[in-house]
Amino acid sequence: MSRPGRHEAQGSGEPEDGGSSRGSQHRHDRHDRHSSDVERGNDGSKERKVFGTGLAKGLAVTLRTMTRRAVTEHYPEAQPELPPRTRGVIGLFEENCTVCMLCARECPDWCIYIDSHKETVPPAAPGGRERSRNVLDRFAIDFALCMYCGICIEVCPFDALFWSPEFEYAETDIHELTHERDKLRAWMWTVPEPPALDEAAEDAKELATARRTADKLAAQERAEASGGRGAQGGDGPGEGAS
Amino acid sequence: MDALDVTVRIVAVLLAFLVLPLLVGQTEHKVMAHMQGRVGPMYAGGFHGWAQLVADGVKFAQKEDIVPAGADRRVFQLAPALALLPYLLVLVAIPVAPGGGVAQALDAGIFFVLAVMGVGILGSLMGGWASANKFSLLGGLRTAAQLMAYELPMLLAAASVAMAAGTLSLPGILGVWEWWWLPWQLIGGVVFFTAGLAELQRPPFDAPVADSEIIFGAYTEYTGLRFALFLLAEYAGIVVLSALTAVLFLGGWHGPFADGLGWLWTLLKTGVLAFGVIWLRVSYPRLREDQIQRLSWTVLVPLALVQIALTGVVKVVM
Repeated sequence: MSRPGRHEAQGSGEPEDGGSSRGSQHRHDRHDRHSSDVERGNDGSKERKVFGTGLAKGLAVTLRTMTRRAVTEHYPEAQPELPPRTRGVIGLFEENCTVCMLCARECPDWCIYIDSHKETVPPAAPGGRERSRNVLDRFAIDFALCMYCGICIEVCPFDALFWSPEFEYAETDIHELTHERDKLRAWMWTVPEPPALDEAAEDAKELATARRTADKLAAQERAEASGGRGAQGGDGPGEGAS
Repeated sequence: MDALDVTVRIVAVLLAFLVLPLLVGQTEHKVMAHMQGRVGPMYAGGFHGWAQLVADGVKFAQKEDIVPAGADRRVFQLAPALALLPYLLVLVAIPVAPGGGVAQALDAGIFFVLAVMGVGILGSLMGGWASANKFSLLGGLRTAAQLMAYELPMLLAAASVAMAAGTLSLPGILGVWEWWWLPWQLIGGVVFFTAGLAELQRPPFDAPVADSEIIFGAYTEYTGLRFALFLLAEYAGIVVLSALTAVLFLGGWHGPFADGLGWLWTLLKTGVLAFGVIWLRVSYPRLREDQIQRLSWTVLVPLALVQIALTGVVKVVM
C-alpha cells in the first residue's frame, strides 16, 4: 500500500496535502527523506485530535497495568498451572512396547536407546512350533538430545509412549539427562487421562469392537436360553444385532 | 547556630541523601515492574525484594575497578564523584519544613541550586571525554548538547517563580506562596519539570545514555563502585529535581497542619513527583537526539517566556 503512495507524492510534487489525506503509513515513509516534512506531517496528524491525547493514553495504559495483577509465575514457590497436554517429558508404558524400534529409528536426533533379546515361548497348541518374542532390556531417552518433537509418540503403533506434563528433571551434569526405563515408567503415572470425546462423537474403534463382541455373546446366550424354553425365540437376536 | 545544631542538620541532610535515592530506586524497580505486568525483585531481603539495592551495592563493591588503558586516569576516576556530590550540596538548600526547616538558608537559593545542579552534568561530560571510547564521547557530547538546550528553559521557569515571590531565597519563596500560585505558575512548573528530566537524562530524554544505541554513553567504560556512583547520582538527581519542583511550584511544606506536618507535605509532594518521573520513563519511548533539541528550543523556551510574561502581567496588575 505504502509504495505506490510514495511514488505518487514524489510525482505530484505537493507532499503536504498528499501526506495528510493518505494513511499514516505513507507519511512515515516520507519522514526518512525530508526532515522538514516530519514537522508538517506531525502537525497535520494532530489536527484532528486534541494535543496530548496520545501522551495521556500512554500514561493511562501503564497506570492501568500497574493496578492489575502481574502475570509473573512464581514458579519455585508455586507450581505453574500447565495445560494437560503439555509436552514436559516422555513416559514409557513398557507392557505395550514390542521392541519394534520404530521410535528409535524415527527419532530425528537419535536420542532413544533400545536393547532387547529374543526369548522363545512354548507352542500355543501341543505339537506346534515354538514362538519367539522380543524382551525389552533397556529403554533410555537422552533428554539432552531430545527436541521434544513427539515423533516417537506419534509413531508408536502400540501406545507405549506418552507425553507427561512433568518438567522438573533438570540435572547438573548433562550425562545424567539420559533417563532409563524405570524413570520413564515412573513418569508414565503422571500422564493425564486423554481428553473426553465430544458427546456426539463415535466411540473409539476398540470400544466399538469390544461392545459388538459383548453384544453378540449376550445375544447368543439369550438365544440359547430362550431356545431351551422353546418359546418366543425370534426376538432375542434382533435386539442384539442393533 | 551552634556546633550541635549544624551537626544535626548536616547529618539529617546526609541521611536523606543516602536513603531517599535508594527509596526512589527501589520504587522504580517495583513500579516499573508492575506497570509492565511483572513483579520485580522478590528475593533480596525476604519481603518483596526490599533489599535489592543493598544487594546491588554489595555486588558493585565487589567488582573490579577498571580504568581503560587509553583513558585520562585522573579525570576518569574523578568523574563519578563530580556527578554525585552536587546533588548532596543542593539538598542542603532545600527547605523541608516551615520555620527554619532547612539545612542552610541561602539568600540566593535559586541561583545556588540551579548552578550546582548544572555542575552534576560535568561528571558525565568528564567521563565521556576521559574514557577514550567513541560511544562514551558521543554520549558526553549529547549530554553537553542537552545541558545547553535545557538549562535555559529551566532557568526561565525558575526565574518566573522568583519574580512572583520577589525573592531568590527558597524559604522566602515558600513564605509568600499562596495556593493560587498553582494555576498561575502551572506552565512554568511543567517546563521546569520537563527540563529537569532532560537534564537528568531520564527517559524519554535518555538519548545521551541510550543503552541500545551508544551502550550507556559516558558510562560505557565504568565498572564497579564508580558505575554505582553514577547510577546513584541519577536517583539523587530525581530526588533533588522532585524536591525542587515541589518547593518552587507545588508549595513545598504548604498544606493542612503545615506547622507540624510541613516536612511530611514536602516529602509527599516530592514522592508523587518522583513517581511521575518513573511513570514517564515506563510510558514513553526515547526521543531522538534532534527531537530532544527541537522540543527544548521550539516548545519549552517559548512556553517559559510565556510564563514569565504571564507572571509579569499578573504582578503588575495586582
